Amino acid sequence: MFKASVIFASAALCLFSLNPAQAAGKKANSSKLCSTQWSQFQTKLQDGDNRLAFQNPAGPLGIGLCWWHSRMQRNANYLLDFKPSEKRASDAEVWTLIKGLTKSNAVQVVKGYKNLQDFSSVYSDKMAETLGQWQLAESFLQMGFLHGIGSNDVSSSSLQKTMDALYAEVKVKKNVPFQMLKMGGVATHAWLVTDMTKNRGGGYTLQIIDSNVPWSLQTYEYVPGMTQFSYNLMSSSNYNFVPYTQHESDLSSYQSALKRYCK
Amino acid sequence: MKLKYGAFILALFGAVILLQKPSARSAKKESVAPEAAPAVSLLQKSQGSQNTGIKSVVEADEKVKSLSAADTTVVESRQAGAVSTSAPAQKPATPSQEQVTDWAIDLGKSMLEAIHNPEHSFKMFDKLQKCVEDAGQVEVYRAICAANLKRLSEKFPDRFAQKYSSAQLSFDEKIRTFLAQANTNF
Repeated sequence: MFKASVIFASAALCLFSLNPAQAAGKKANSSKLCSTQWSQFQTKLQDGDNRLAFQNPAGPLGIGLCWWHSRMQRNANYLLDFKPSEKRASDAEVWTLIKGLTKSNAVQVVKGYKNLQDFSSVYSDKMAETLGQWQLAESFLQMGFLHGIGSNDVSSSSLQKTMDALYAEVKVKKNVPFQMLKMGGVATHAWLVTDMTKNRGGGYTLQIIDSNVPWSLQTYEYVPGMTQFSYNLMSSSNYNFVPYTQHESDLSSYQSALKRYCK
Repeated sequence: MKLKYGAFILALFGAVILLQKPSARSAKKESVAPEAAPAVSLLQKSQGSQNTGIKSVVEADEKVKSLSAADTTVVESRQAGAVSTSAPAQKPATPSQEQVTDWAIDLGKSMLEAIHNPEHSFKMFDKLQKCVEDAGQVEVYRAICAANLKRLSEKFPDRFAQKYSSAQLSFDEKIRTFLAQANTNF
């Protein structure tokens, strides 16, 4: 039984290490995106050139767009194929492209730009506007949703379980999880986890991208026994929260989109 | 010989089924579409319509196309209710989250222009106000219009502060709560 589990786990790992075109058993599209192994999307995001050039804006409600900034950041990391030598798209095409970044189901080609930093520094106003409208659309439809989403202080065993599961997501599945950070009341934040290391005694060090400081990678250390995180999100004071992984289905959407695109 | 004959009959039977399926499928779609069609697709359809009632609502101004389209939805859904004799007038179909997001982003294009162009900001304010005050409009669209209306009035208080305070009177409780959200995300 144990042997069978090991074999199954190994097979799963092998599948994750294949690039999407290879997994589909077809001749690979020659683009850089298609030659990116699934695990390399983590390291790709660790490079500042592949991150958004602007930080979490206030948005139309004046309450920040951290969730949507992080989601657009992740969508762009998996689903944009940059072709710097090709002619740049028109404004109308760029709008369509940016609108597409609110979805997780299709690869899009960005002509005339070498990376996300390059593209988003030119179109930061359009992207920020899109994030704002995306927030309005989702916030109204999900009003009250945050009240029941979870606590900002849990038992130490529950947080340990959450961290162990997150480690498997990051180190075994090689995913970039999106985490909603639940604070007191309805206050929340979000971050993307790009790497994790296991520390002695069951703790972990998380490498994260915080939309408030997208130009640098942050780290946070989890120590067993904690019942919540305490982290300096803005500038002066620390915020206490519990992280919850969300939007997991986007990752399988990325895989399907890459398979289709990289035929 | 028997086998060959059997295979031929099976193949013939299969071909008949294959030929019938597409039409059966489309017939099924047609019977579902009028009720299940989301608001946004209704808008798109009506833009190409020859119906003068609808046409009068559709604005020529391309920049505010998305809002005009929203107006059109209401007209079309009301007309559907008016001609129906057997069933009561139905509320507009609830659009999916993705449809609402797409609609809002299209609205965002006009908002960005309105923020940078004074002349366009006046037109935009009027369009947004119409959208908010339209009781037949789908609630989520009204809320998005309200949020953008508030945004315009804050951006240009000299132009719109007064108009906005009177427009606010038409906001229902849910929209007020939505706009009152503060300090929830960082």
